Amino acid sequence: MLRKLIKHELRATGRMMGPMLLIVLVAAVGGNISTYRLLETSNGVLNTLGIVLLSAFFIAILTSGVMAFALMVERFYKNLLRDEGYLTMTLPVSVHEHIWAKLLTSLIWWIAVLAVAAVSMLILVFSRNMMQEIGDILAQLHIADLNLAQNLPHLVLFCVELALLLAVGGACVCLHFYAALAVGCSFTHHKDALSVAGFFVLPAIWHVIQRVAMFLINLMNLEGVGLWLQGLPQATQTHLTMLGVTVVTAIPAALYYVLTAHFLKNRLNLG
Amino acid sequence: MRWSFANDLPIYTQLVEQIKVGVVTGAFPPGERLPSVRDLATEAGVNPNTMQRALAQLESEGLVYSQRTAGRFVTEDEARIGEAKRDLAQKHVARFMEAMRSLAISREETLSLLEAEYGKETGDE
Amino acid sequence: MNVLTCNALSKAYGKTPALSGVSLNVESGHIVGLLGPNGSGKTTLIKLANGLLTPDDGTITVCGMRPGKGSHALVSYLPERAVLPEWMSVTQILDFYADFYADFNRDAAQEMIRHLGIEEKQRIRQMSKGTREKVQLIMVMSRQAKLYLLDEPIGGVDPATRDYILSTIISNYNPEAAVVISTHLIADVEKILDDVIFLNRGCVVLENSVDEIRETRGVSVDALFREVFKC
Repeated sequence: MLRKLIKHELRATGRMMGPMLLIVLVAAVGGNISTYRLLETSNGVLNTLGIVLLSAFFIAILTSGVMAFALMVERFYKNLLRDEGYLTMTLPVSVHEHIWAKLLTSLIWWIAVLAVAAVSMLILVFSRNMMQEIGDILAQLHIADLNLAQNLPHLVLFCVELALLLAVGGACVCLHFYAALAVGCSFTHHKDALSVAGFFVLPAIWHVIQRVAMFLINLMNLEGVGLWLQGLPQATQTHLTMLGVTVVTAIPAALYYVLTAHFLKNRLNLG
Repeated sequence: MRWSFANDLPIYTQLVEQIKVGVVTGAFPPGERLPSVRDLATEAGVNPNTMQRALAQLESEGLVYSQRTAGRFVTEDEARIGEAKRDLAQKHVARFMEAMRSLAISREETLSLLEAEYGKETGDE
Repeated sequence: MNVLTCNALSKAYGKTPALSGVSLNVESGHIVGLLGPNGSGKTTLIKLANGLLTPDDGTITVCGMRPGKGSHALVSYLPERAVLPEWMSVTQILDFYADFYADFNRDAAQEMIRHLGIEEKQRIRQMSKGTREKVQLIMVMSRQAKLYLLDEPIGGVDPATRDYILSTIISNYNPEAAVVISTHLIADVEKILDDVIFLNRGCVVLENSVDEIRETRGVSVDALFREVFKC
């Protein structure tokens, strides 16, 4: 069922995100023409047009990011907690599947926005001799750091860790919104105001928990652990730090998830 | 068939009576297969359970019969249909008499009113 | 078999009580009218049965289950408001129902859509209010559910549409299922009901069969309703 939920979720969001991402790519072509043609001439009108096209490109990228973000909030609120919720929340689907469908769809669009942004940047700077330049850079890298081959596994692992951290971080941002909405909308009156309040109160509570946890950790004698860490090779230290940051990000994400699921399952109160 | 329902009687008794009228007047001819319960119910705009009850009642009165697989049929027994016709007529007469009595109209007046009504009908022809 | 069971069910909105200690049973094979004036708790009861609200007190079960994933598969629900997303086309809505409900009869739904002269590529946004309600009803009645919960299916539509809706219900519901129809337009539905439940201010005030009411009291349910709820 999760697959079907995501399919319909992509259908609902794709009709906005699809054209938006296409606009970004088209705008990148426009930007490319600006940089290499319009801005190179001494014609004032063409120069102005070049600046307009270039700004349009950056605005398009920015808008696609904002849109992905707004859709994340809007879909959860409108599709689950407002009138459409009468249809969605009575599907033979568990609350967990609903949350995961919304979460994964949001992450898919965020990844798509990043990917399209990267591709569009390439389009923007593309020129005939670009391939040549890239080749030159790679060659220089090769000369500069002969250890590259040796360090490659660490580099790959680091990239994976970074991707994981970004995904968990993104999930945490989503779940923060979801939890605030789920809690706020469980009340009979002032659902919207209480959702906004929840948005600020929940992290505050998490902050207090964090403080208490830090205090308790400080009470323990962890000097041995610190020394052990310092004794490790540089690369291992980096990996452990990445993992540590990911875990610390995952804890509030998990708490927000539990809160969201509980409120959707046991405190649903559609107006 | 036209279906219409009064407010003060059970729907099921009204259905029994209206199907009876249908049989007597030939809207449902002898030996003909009746539509399914659901179709009849949809046509009359009533609950299928109520229609089912009405047909069961008609079956016990011998006006329709069911064949296990083929469905329900109107009886071919002309005598039985004639009897039903008389029953219906009697019911109307009883209702009419009741109305006359409540208006305190005497037997002679009633009869002369009937005569006049019949005269009008033949006069029209 | 009991399809819907409520036991001392209570629900309040803030300090305003909507249902107070409602206990009732709905058996399969019956079409039941949930009747009451506006604000008597009809919609609240139906929303509780769908798990869209959480009871304050008491229990509600559908086919022996608390409302949730399991019961949703057995209940076909028509909300009192328009809930089909406006951007969706008829085809997309058919996909949606076919994907999520194993008991959805797509052919039957398509046949009814065609019968109404609606193009499948038409979007909800392009339809009149009456057509939207018909499409929503067609989706709901094209399922072979165990319990149909129809909240105000004939409110705010013209008499011809009302007839269409009622005949669609009669000719499509699964005879082993129970149908609960909530409405305050009693004269229009009374002929298709087996039983009625009168709700007033969140309490059940009468539970009886339509023919019994007519037989013993010599009045229609509509007349009885006007008597019970006289202002």
